[in-house]
Amino acid sequence: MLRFTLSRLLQAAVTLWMVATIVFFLARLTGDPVALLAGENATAEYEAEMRRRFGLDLPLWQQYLVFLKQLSMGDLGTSIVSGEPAMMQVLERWPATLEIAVAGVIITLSLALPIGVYAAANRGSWLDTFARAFAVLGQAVPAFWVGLIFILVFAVHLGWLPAGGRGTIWHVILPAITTGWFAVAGIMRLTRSSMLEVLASEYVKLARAKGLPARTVIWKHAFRNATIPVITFTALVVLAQFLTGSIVAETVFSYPGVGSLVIDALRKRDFPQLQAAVFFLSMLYVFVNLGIDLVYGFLDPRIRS
Amino acid sequence: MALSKGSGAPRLAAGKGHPLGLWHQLRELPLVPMGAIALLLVMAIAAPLLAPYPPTEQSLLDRLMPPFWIAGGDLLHPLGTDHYGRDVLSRVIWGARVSLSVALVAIVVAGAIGTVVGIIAGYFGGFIEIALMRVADAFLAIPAVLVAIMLGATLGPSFENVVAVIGLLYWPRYARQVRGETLAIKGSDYVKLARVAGCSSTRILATHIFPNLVPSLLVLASLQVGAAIILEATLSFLGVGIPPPQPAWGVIVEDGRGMLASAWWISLFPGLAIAITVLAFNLTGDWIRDRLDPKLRSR
Repeated sequence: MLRFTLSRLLQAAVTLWMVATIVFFLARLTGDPVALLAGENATAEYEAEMRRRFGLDLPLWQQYLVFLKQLSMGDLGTSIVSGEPAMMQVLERWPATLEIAVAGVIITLSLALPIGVYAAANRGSWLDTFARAFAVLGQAVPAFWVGLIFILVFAVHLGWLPAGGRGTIWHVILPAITTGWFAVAGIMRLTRSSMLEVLASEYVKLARAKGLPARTVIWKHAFRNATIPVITFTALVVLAQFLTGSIVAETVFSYPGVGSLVIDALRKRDFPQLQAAVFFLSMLYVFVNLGIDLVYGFLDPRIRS
Repeated sequence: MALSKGSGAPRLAAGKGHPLGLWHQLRELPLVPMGAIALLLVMAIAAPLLAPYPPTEQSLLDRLMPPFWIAGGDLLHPLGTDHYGRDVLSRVIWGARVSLSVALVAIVVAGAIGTVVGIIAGYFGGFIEIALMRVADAFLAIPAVLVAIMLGATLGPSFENVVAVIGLLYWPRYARQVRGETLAIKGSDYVKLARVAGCSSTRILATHIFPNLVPSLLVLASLQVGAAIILEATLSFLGVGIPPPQPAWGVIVEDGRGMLASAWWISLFPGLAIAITVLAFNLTGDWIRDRLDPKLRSR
């Protein structure tokens, strides 16, 4: 387990380093950051002074080392627009993103699991047909468009929920569903097929033969075993989809989180800010990935080798 | 997956000589999705002929016209116009060309890189295999959408960037799949015989191994087209994909975003186009998978 943990830690570190390197060199591709900072009317002396101050007169490999050193201390530069440390903005907006992600996971699971289980237990029922149709349709419809349709229906026409912004719990609902959109379809589909498999197994037949009530058989004997692959999938989905999802949902609903910060910074050409937000989200992604790997390794010794 | 054939009825084996064989095979084809794909391909290829207007032609007198069935609409613009007076129907038709070409080119790029990497890793093994597979794993661990945003931000949005991003994101899956199968095929008797007969590695790879990889490559590709279309649309919607005013579906949805309450048709129709396209490709992909590679079903 120790060997496994160390190798996974190393892998995560290498991935982070790759992301940092890509971010650094991409940022240098955009041209001279000094020209951007100093403005068009700056004198040559002023630009040279700026260059010295930001260490841009050094050779590229030295700049790269300085960048890595600052990065390791959590310093990701200064926002061009606000003039504040770029990381501050990210940390200020982080709770909003977390809010939506947590609400998204809760809503996703509380929709996908019961419907998936019910559909499997009542194969061929109208809910089963609905669940299968939804699973297929859900994966074909892009989340950003779903978000806009939600706004059109629930905010503009029905007036039930706010169309955007942050404040009350009502503001969280639509972005959370949008974030979890793909996940609901996928998890529901997987829960259903996994339950079908388990329900056909010998021990479920035995439980039924013993005369246990259907509820006990389904929830206590079948569901627990059926959830193992579902948990695996959920963890992976939470990782990949919720990260992209938060960028999309926060943009569509103007929710002030890290995801919309990425897009804001992009539109304002605020590169230090963009770098900081992108790096923060990447770090999160890599750490969650690492966490999942370690938990699996702990639960299932076969994975370690 | 059990989903695609809910009844679970055993499939009739359509033997070649059987008089009903062809009929059964035809009946099992996913005709509606395949028809939709054919229609989309026609739209994409013949967009200049089919679209009533050029996709970026502005007509400020006809701004924000609703679809024809709503008061104020006109059959001249069946799906209405946007805030520049551009015809929504024409833009959606041209969008098919943009979205399909991005997805198909990207998948070909990913498939080509992945196949070359996977086949080399699987065939030569040893240090090369470990190194190549580690690189593939590292690519899978990178949050691709974030890198896509950085790339779009620094190099500017363009067709090539979207293709590059989707290609970079998808190739490791091909590499893994191809490596596994190459390993299996490498151990087969006919490959051993070919080697004994004095075939070069290149020849073995090209004539004995690669042809056997084609079915599963097709399966993987057909399953990824839909996802690639959604990814392209999402990147375009966020402003790092296909640059406006080009009529990519994601771009058109974004165009209408600010006027959702008053001019919902601008965003609605391109989104429907995405949904129908992805649905058609996913259903066809499921069918191809069930037919060509039942092993993949369990994944």
